[in-house]
Amino acid sequence: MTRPLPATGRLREHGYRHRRARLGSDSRVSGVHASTARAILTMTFAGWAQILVYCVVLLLVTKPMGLYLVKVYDGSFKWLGPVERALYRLGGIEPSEDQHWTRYAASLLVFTAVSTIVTYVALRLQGRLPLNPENLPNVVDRQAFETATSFTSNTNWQSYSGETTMSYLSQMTQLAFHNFASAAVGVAAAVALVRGIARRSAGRIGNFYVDLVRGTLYLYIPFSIVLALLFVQQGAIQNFHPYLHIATLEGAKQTLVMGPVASQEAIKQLGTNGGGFFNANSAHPFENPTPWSNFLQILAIFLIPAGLTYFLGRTVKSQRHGWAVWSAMFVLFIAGVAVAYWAEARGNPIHAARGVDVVASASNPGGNMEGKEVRFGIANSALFATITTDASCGAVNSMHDSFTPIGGMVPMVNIQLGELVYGGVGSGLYAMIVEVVLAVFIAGLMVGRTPEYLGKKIESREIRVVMVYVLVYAFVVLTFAAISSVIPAGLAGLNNTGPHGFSEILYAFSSTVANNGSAFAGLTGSTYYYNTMFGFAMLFGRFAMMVPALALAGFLAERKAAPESAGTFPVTTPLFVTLLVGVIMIVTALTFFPALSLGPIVEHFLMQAGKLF
Amino acid sequence: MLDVVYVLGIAGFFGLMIAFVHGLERLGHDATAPGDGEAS
Repeated sequence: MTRPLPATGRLREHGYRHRRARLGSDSRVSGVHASTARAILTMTFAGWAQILVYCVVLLLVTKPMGLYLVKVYDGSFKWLGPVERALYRLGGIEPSEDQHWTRYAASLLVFTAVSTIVTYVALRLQGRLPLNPENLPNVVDRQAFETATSFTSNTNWQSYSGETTMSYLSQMTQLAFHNFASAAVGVAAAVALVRGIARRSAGRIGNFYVDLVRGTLYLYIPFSIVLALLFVQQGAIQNFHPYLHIATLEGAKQTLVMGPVASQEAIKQLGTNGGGFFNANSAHPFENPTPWSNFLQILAIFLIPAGLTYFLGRTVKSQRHGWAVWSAMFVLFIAGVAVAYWAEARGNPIHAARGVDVVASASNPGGNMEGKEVRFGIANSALFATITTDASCGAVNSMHDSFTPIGGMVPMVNIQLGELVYGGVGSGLYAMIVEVVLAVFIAGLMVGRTPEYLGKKIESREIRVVMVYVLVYAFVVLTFAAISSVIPAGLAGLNNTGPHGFSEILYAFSSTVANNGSAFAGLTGSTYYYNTMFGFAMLFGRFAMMVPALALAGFLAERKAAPESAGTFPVTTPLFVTLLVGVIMIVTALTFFPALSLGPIVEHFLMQAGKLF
Repeated sequence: MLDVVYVLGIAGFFGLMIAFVHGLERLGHDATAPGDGEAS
């Protein structure tokens, strides 16, 4: 039998956290210090070389991906024309209709509402449906609700072990469907916002159903097929076999879980969904077998979001603006990687004080290896953790809860920034455009001119929806986390006390509301309280933010484009990039710094003083 | 019983979002007063 697993979050790690908690009960170690010199020694050339190679490849793929996206969404591609037209006929869609933003948003909401309810019903009836060789029972009501909302919101927060809960039918027709559809919905919203900037069209921003169909047919399906084949070549499994029950060399019985893993893996990363076939997610060798598959996975996460910045530049006819947005994202990305790598390479000073060798050598990765795959080591774990939380992916190849306090704060802050560092597919770009509008508005106030963004005046109604967008996230995260930190139902799920316990709750709501899906998994989220709270948190985080973004698209589309003047703040310069990064950091710092102070920041100082939680 | 509650919860949420769309549309109109918007 498969070992029963505690169910909470994307990746469960009770064993590690409990060990750490036990250590914490008597772990005051005096005179704990880890020198900066040791930390620098432990960050290796090989580690930084891998990060550098990743950055170069990301830069190189941005333009071709952007050009491909332009052709997908301007209708140039027609090689699946018959399929496309058949889908329109089947759905009674008039593809030439140019929808007002309100109709575009309503179409998006109705499509998602129906698909969410269908998934809920399908999961509740799973035990009676085919393609269930393990005879898995119906999914319980609270988990069916959370899973349905999780996958339709592109979050893929999982409070269950996929291999012991979901039948092949549920995985393939429900979860995989939403992996494609929710990603296509996200990109559609971003494309609509870019059209709103580029157009003068009385609030009309395209056709939601056309964007959904074209994104699925021309973008996600072909890219996923190619990527799935690459994963199979690397050793990821892809079959419909029943689980294998084998005897180990020691004579113990072991269950090897089978299934269509490679295909799930491809769309999981390309769509920044993140939900793993296995409980261990991308730390599992059947999902992520080699260093090359690991590289492909993290490249797939940023591929489309990075390309969307080029798409933005091309569509608004200011390629330099697209690259400026890309650069702001890159600054935030590399800063996150550097801090996470530094913190994890530096390791836990308490380990060092107890005689654990935390210095990297030919036979020792050094640093903090708790919760990390030996195959990937510290650099690739820090890189993966940063990328998956910059985007709204949430796939993991290491356990974020086992990171050092500062190392673990990086994924949390990335999520709280709004996942706009390349970001989720589509959601990253529209989140960044919201921040751009805010930055332009602030720049306009500083020089006393009416703010303009690419020729469109930014006035009170645009700023109102921008502020609604910014406040929804902060309000839902902080309110839900505060309630859960004081009521018995919220505290019942905690396996760690003190600041780390609070960090687990804060991370959970930051992750679910931002539709990331990764977890500080010491929190037991598989309860009626948390399943229900997380379900609504994910819905609010997705749609109560997407609707203001579409409203912004409509408002901008109604405006005439004014020619640039001497008073126009240029959005293509290093000054703009600096201002944009500053606005993002300040908005986040003002919102979340007090909460972070109660969690990872105080935990860091207590760790330095020799106390763990 | 809880199935009904959860399904109604999903439907109710999306109904709320449709109302949110109309609320933002009205907010857009209300904010475009004389001297505001394109006229400026």
